[in-house]
Amino acid sequence: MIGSTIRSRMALASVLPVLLVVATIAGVFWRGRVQDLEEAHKQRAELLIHQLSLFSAYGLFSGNTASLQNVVQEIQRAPGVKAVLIFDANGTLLARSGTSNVIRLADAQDSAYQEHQRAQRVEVRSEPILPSVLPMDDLFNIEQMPAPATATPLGSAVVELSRQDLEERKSAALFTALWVGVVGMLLGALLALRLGRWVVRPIERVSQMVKRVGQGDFAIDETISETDPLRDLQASLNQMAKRLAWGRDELERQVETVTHELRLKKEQAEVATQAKSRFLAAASHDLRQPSHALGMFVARLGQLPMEPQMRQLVDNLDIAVQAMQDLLDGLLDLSRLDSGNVQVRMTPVDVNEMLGGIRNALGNMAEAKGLRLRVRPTARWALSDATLLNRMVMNLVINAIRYTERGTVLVACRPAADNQSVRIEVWDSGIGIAAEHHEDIFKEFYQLTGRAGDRNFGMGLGLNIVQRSAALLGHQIALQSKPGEGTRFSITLQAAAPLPALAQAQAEALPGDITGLRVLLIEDNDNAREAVRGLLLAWGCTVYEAASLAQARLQVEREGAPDVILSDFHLGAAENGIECIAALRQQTRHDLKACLMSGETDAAFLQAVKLAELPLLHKPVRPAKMRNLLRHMLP
Amino acid sequence: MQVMRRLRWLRCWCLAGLACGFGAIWAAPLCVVSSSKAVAFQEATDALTQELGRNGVARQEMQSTAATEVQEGNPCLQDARIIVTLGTEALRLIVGRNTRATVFAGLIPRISFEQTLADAGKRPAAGVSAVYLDQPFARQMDLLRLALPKSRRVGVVWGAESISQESLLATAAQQRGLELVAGGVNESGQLIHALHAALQDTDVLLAVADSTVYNSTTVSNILMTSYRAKTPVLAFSPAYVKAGALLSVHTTPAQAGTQLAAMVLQYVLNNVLAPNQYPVDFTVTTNDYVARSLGLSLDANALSERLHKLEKRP
Repeated sequence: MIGSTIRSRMALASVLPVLLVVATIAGVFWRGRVQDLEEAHKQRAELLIHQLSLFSAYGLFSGNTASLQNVVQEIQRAPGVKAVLIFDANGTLLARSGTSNVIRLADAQDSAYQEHQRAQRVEVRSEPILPSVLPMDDLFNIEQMPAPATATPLGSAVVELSRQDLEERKSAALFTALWVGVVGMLLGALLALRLGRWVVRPIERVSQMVKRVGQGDFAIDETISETDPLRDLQASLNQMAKRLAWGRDELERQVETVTHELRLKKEQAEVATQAKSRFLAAASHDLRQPSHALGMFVARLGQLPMEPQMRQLVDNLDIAVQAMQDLLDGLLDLSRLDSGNVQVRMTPVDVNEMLGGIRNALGNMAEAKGLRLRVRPTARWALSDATLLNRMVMNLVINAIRYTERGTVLVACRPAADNQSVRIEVWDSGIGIAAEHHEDIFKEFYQLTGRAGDRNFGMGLGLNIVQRSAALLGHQIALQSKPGEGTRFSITLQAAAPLPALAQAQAEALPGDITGLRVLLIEDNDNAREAVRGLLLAWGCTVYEAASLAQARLQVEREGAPDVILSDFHLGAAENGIECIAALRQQTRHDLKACLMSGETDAAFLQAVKLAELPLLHKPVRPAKMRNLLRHMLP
Repeated sequence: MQVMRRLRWLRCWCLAGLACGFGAIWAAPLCVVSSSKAVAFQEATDALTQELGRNGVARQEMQSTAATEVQEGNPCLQDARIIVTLGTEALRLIVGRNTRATVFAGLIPRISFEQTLADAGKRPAAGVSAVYLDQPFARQMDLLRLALPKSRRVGVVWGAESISQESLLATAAQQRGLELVAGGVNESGQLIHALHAALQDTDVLLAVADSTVYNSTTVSNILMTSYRAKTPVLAFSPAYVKAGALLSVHTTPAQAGTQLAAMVLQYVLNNVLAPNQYPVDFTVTTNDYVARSLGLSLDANALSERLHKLEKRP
C-alpha cells in the first residue's frame, strides 16, 4: 500500500513535469513557427505590393498603361498571387491581372470584402502609389521641399495573395508540433517512470524492511547492492535490526532469569507463609484448650467467696489470663483474615450501643492506668459488620490506652462532611507517632522502637487487624498524629438509618438471665469440659455432659432434648461437633439450638461451620461472650 | 574675376575713405540674417564677413543670426543699419518687421524676391537690393551654345511661378538664334503633358527654377522622361546635375557672399544702393555619365572658362 502510494506519487512527480515541459516546448515551437510563417507571409505581401508600387510609379506618372500592364503581369507571376490591380489617382482601373472580384478601388479597401476574401484564404492588400522622392539639397529647393508624407499619391496598387500555402504550412507546423509533442511526451514519460522506479525501489526495500522490523521480524536483509542510493540507510537499518534482535533476546533472557528468581522467592514466601500459618494454627489450637480451661477456671474461681488477699491474687490471675487470651484472639483473628473466610454481615449498627459496650469493657483497663476513657454519646448508626467493627474500635481504644500515660482517651462518632458517612474517632493524649511510622504501624507485629516485648504494649497485631478488617469492610482508616501531641485514629464508614424501635425494643427485651437453661455440653477434653460445666453451673444453667456422640445420645435419651447444645468441634479422631449436632437434631427431630466451640482456624473447618450455619465460639472462649450467646439462645 | 577686380577697386576706395574720416559710417553695425542654419547660408555668411573684414570692417560690427532664432528686441536687428538677408525666409522676416535699415538680399531666386516684396506690399524705407540666386537667361543660352552648339530648339516647362519670365527667355533665345518650345503647367494641368509638349522635337530641355514644376517628387520623373526622349537637360543647380541633368551653371554661396560684400561696401562708400542684379561669378557643372550616355563629351572647367571669357567681351 505504502509502496504503491510512493510509486504513484513518484510517477506523478516525475512524469508531470516532463509532460508539462514537452507540452510547453511543443506549444512554443508551434506558436513560434506560426508567427514566423505569418510574418514571412506579411513581409512577402508587403514586398510584392511595394515592388508593384515602385515599378508602377513612373507608368502612372507618364500614363503608360502598357507599361503598367507589363508590371502587373510580372508581379502576377510570383507564387500565390491571385490578382494584381492598379488604379490611378481618380480610382480608375488602369491595369489588372489574375482573377478578382474587385472592380473599383473602394471594393479592395472595403473591410467586409477583405474579411470575405480572408475566409476564402485570400489576402487583399492595397497601397497608395507615391512618386519617388529624390532629395534636392540645392538652394532652390532647400526652402520649398514638400514633405514626402504630403506628396499626392499617383494611384493605388492592389494585390490579392493566396493564403492557401500559408495555411497548409501552418497545418504542417501544427502536425509536426503535435507529433514531436506526443513522441516527446511518450519518451519523456517512459524515461521519467524508469528513473522514478530507480528511486522508488530502494525506498520500497527500506520500507518493507522497516515494516518487517515493526512486525518483530529482525531478519537482516543481507542483499545490499553496491549501487543502492540508500545503501547507508539500509546498512543502518540492518544494524538497528541486529541490535533490536540482540536487545530483545537479552531482555527475554533477563525476564526469564528474574521470573525464575521471583518464582523461587514466591515459592519460598508461600512456604514460609504456610509454615507460619501452620505454626499459628497449631500454636493457637494447642494453646487454646488449656487457655480456655484456664479462663473458665479463673472465672469460676472469681465467683467463689474468698479472702480479700486471695481476691487480689485471683484478679491478677484473671488479668494475666485475659492478656493471654487477647493475644490468642489476635492471632486467631489474624488467621481468620489470612484465610479469607471471614463472613461479613453488613447490618445497621447502633454506634452508641457499640461504643457503650467498649466503654464497659475497657473502662477498668483505662482506670487501672489512671486514664479517663470518655465515650461521647451519639445517635448515629452505621452500616457495617457489628463484630468486625467492634473489634476494630476495641483494638484502637486498647492501643490508645496502652500508649497513653496520662490524660484522656476519647471515643466519638461524628458525621462526615458529605453527611452520607460517619466517622468514628479515637483520640488520645499519648506519646504520639512520628510521621515516618504512620505506615509501618499497620504492619503485623510492628511496634514502635523500644516498645518491643513490653507486656503492656501487646504484640503489634491490633492495628494490622484494624487495617485488614477495614479493607474487608470497605471502611477508610485515617491517622493524625505527631510525637508528644497525641494521636487520632478515625474510621470512616457509611451512615445507616436506625432500626425501627420495635426491633430495638425486642432486642432490649431479651432476658439477661440464663438461669435454668438446659445445656448439653459435648467436650472430649476433660479439663475444658469441667471448666465450662463449672461456669455454666455458676450461671444457674442445668448442664448435661458428654465426651462423645454416643454419650450425648444417651444424655438426650435420658434427659430429653436440651435448650442448647454446646459442642467442641474436635471430638476424638472420628467425630466432630457438626456431625454430632446434626445427629442429635436428627435424633430429637427437633431443630435444636446449637453452638460450636473450637480453637481451629483452618479454612476448611471455617467453611464447614459456615455451611452448617452454626455459631462458633473461638477458644479460648470468653465467659462473657459465651454467656451473651447463650442469652440469645434462650427459648 | 570681375567681382574680385571690383572689390580690389572698392578696397582702395575704402581705405582711402577711412583715412579721410569715413570711419564714422561704420558706427552702425551690420546684421546678417539667414533663413536657417544650413551649410550653404553659413558659407555665404563666412564669405561676406571675411570680405568685409578684409576691407577694414571690424568683426564686432558684424553679427549674424538665423531667422528661426530671431525674437522681438533682437539687438542685432534693432541696432543694425545694414541688414543682409540670405534666403527667402530671411527676407520675408525682415520685410515684415518694418526695418529702418538698408537691406541686401542674397541667395534668393529672382521670382521669390519679387514675390516676397509683392506679398509684403511694401519695401524697406531705406531701400532693398538683391543678388539673385538664379542665372541670367543670357548666360544659360550662351552656355547652351557652347556646350551643345548643334542645338536649335530649346524646350521649357513653365510653371505658375516662372511664367512671368517667359519674355526674358524668349528674348535671350532669340538673340542667339534659338527656338523655344514651351509647355505650361497650370493648376489643373498635368506635368507629363507639359513635359511631353516641351520635349516635342527639342534638342535640349532648359529647366527654369520653379518649385511647382521642379521639386524632389517630380525631378526623377522629369529626368526619366527627358532621358527616354534622349533630350539633355540644362539645369539651374548642381543638385539636378547630380540627379541626372547634363549640365548646369550656378553660383556658389561663397561667390554670392562675396558679391553681397561688394554691394555693401559700395553702398557704404558711395551711399548709393546698387540695383538688383544677377550673380556676377558662376560655376559650370556637368554629369559625365549622362554625357556619355548621350554620346557627348563635356569639360566643365573649359566651359566655365569659355563662358567667363564670353561674358568679358564688350
